[in-house]
Amino acid sequence: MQPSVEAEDLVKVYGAGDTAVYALDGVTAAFGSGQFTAIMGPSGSGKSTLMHCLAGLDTPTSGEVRIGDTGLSGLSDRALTLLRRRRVGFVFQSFNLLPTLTAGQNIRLPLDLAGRKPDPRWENEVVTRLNLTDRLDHRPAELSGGQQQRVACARALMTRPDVIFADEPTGNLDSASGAEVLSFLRSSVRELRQTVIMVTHDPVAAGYADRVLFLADGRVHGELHDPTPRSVLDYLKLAGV
Amino acid sequence: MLRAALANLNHRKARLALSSLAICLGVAFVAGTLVLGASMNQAFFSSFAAGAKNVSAAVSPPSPGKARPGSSGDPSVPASVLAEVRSVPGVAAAAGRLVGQAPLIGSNGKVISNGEQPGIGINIPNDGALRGFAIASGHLPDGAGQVAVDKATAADEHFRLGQAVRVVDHSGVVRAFVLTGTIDLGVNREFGNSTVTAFQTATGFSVTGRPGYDMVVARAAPGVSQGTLVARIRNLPGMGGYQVRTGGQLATAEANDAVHFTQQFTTAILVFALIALVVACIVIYNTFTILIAQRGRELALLRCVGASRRQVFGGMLIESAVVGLVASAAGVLAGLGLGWALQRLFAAFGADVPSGPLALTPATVAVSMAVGVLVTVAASLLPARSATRVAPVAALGGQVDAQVKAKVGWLRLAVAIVFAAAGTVLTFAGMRDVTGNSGFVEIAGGGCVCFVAVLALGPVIAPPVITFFGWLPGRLAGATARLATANARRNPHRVAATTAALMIGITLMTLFTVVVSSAQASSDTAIAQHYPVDYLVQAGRGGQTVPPPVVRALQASRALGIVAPQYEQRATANGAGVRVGAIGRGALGFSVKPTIVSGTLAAVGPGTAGVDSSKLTALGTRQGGTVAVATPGGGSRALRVVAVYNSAGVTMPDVLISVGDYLRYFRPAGADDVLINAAPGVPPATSRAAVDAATGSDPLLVVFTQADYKANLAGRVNQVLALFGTLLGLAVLIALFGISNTLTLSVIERTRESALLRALGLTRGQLRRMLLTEALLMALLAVALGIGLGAVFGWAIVHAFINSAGGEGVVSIPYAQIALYVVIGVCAALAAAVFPARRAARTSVVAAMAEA
Repeated sequence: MQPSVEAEDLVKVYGAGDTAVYALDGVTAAFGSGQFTAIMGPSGSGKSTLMHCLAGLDTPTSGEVRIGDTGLSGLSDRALTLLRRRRVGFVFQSFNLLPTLTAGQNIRLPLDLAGRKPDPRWENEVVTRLNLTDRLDHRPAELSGGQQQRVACARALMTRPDVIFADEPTGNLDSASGAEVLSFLRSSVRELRQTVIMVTHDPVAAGYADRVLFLADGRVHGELHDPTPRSVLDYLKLAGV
Repeated sequence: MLRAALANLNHRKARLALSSLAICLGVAFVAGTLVLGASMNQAFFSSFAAGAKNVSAAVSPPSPGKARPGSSGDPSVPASVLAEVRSVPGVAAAAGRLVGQAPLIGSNGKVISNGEQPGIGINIPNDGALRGFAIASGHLPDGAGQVAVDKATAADEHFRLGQAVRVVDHSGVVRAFVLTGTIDLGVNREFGNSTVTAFQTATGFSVTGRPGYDMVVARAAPGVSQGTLVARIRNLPGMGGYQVRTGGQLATAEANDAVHFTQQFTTAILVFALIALVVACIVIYNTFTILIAQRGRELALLRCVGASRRQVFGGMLIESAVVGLVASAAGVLAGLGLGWALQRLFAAFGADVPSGPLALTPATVAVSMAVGVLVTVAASLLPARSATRVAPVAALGGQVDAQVKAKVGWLRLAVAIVFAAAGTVLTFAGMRDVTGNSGFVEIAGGGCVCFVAVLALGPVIAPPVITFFGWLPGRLAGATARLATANARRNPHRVAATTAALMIGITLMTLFTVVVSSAQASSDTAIAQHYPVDYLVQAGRGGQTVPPPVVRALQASRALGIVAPQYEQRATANGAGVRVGAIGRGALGFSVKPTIVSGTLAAVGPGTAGVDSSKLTALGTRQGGTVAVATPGGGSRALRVVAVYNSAGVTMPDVLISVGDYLRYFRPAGADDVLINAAPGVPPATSRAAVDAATGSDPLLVVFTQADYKANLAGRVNQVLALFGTLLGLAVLIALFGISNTLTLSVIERTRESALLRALGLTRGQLRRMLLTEALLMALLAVALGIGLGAVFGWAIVHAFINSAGGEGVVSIPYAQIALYVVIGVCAALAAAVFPARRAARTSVVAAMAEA
């Protein structure tokens, strides 16, 4: 399988000298195209830092990240921004929609920023899949948490990115809404060949993924293929992380 | 709780810096305005009422209304009164002021006769503070044989210090003195443009032959009020017949004599102080409200760990009081510096601003500090109260995005409409009211009330206006501009409040520009009314005339605009004895301006005449009738009456005929006199030289000049206007700081949102452009409303001026200058946004996302 995102010996150090903290301590990992990967680990294990580095939001101290065939090291801020705009999608824990825009405008925002016109058939497909058709004119404040997160998913999908990063996408949702969002992420991988990398600490959420990558103390601790909530919990117990 | 409050201050350094800056600026504006205002007041009175400087009480003779100062028969104050006044308890010093005739002989050996009066002689009071003039160069006479001369005369006549000057005394004897210095009398209507020679007091009496002083002035000892001193002097025996005034009354009377807007000037200074207060309140209130709204979460946390509602509230009070106090103190100092800097700035740009010491009074400090502290505390009260009402857990757990409250209450709407209606009615009433100053008071009141209405309606007006202005950038710049428009609209209350300060500044700039431009257009006319001609050429002795070649030479000069010979003589018309005369074209309706009853003076030509309305009965004629004028040749010419005028206050003949007819009928040897006005824009020195060149060959001709005096007066008026401009500049400056401050705060508030946009692919450049566009839209909103309000009320004020001036004056709207304000306002707002925009773009995406 062709890897969509690759990390090679990633190191991220905060501070210097005695007070230096290694958030990432030599992480090497590959994320296959059309695969749904969950990254798990306790607080402070470096999972968020890893995601930020993979997505080009943060620059690693050393090591290399590749999205598709593009290496991120040495890219200017502008080049990184354009890369995020065209090839990366985001879904955040706290929804992160712009309060001044309607749901529809939020969905089209990345294309708007790039000055591109949305493909109406694709837009229609995404909106229908996420069941947002009659919510497009509402502002975020008028939507429920689940609806807001579905808008965020639609926004991420609109540009048909190489990879979607989801940072604790169910953290602020009740279990029913959470399940809806996770099912959508999985179906977008299965049916649309989308690549998704999700950071979570919830074994149930990780159970929707094709593969789980476990992090501890800034290193890769191990991985599970075709996980279930049960197998994830067992792994965590055994590993004692 | 005190410790928590203080710890809080220490913690949030960036926000604290911004809020302190807002308070500091607001207070600086108030302090700066008060300081500048006080300095302006001093400058005004030292320009226009130099004679009243340091005077606490003044004693004048029973009827001080003399036409020509110093005629020997005028009533005076005997030296005994001076001695009595000196002995009054509470008098620190007293002096007699002598004003008499002392014609000064010029460099050409002839008596200098500028203006309508021969030269004036004054004494030099012993008390330096009570002199009423300043030393311009050299020193004052210290012997009986020495004099000082006013600096304008010394310059005109090229006098040098140490040379001999000659003065004609009251008995006609020419006496020589040594010139030791020159003096500056300011603009003094009493002396007009005459030469002023200052003598030692005894010499002054012997030269002028006056029996006593024209005024006795006294300076109070510290702690004695002017009123007390005046009352004590009035109680002296034998003071019944004298007029005793306070120094303040004397200053107002003198300033009123010189210019006619003393009262308006003082009021204007007060109004500016009020404007400063309002702008300062808006800026401070805005900043503090935003700050505390942002801190809702922090307050909720305090409540969670057990602080009572009262404790949270009290903590907020202490915090805002401490911040208010410290920042206000800094603001007073900054205000002093700001006032000083603006004075220098305007001086550097050529405005003749008085450069006296800045007046920082205890009242200024007290008012500025009180404003800073009270407004800060008041601004934090409301948001603090609503913050304490939120259930602690809800505030902690809830979404941190700022709540957008777009609803506008019915009450607000109703109040705004009532205010707008009341303001409009008041303004219209003011425009109709022509009695004294009350019209302006009504318009000012109406303006304020309307302004309040616009402020209250701001949240309603702002969104559609911003949408309107945002349309074009949205088309051109795409998503960034559309995001900016949405952001600018998101919190109508805040946008309205933020732009209010700039709106006030722009409103006043526009209003001021319209009024000044109209006033300048009207002021030449106004000065020309008081001093209609620049030069008057007359024959030195009665019966002589100005010869035609001189008149032709004057008319040929390019430096001179209107050169109008006047002719007049007694003649018989319709059997009655009247004065028949002719006045050269150009002067009629300009420097000679009677009230027209019917017809028009322009129609007076060959075969036609104008008649004074008071002579219609005696002549037995009317408009359209005829007058038959008997000519010296024995014939009689019948002229049709085409104009009837009322010559009250104007020197006009009873029957006015054309110059051509006059020359044919009466064949005069020359003109009785010639009225001359310099061509527009020609400086007094040039026109004076032209008049001298044309008249120089004839030793019998006398030239009276007012051009210098008029130029001087116009210059002083412009100086006052420049000072008002200075104050307004200050208002706009503060408003811009306010915008920058609010933008910075809203950028901090939106740190996460900006980071999200950056994560989604907004480049740094796009983020900067978005924030700049936001500032641009807010500026356009303020500028549009401000220019609208300013132009309308400027127009109303000018109309009231015109009405109270009996319909004379013009409304002039300087479009180019107003367009310049649009550009300045927009550029300044963009400049104000540069710092916040850079800050937002610099922030790292990950760090910003992590911040709660």
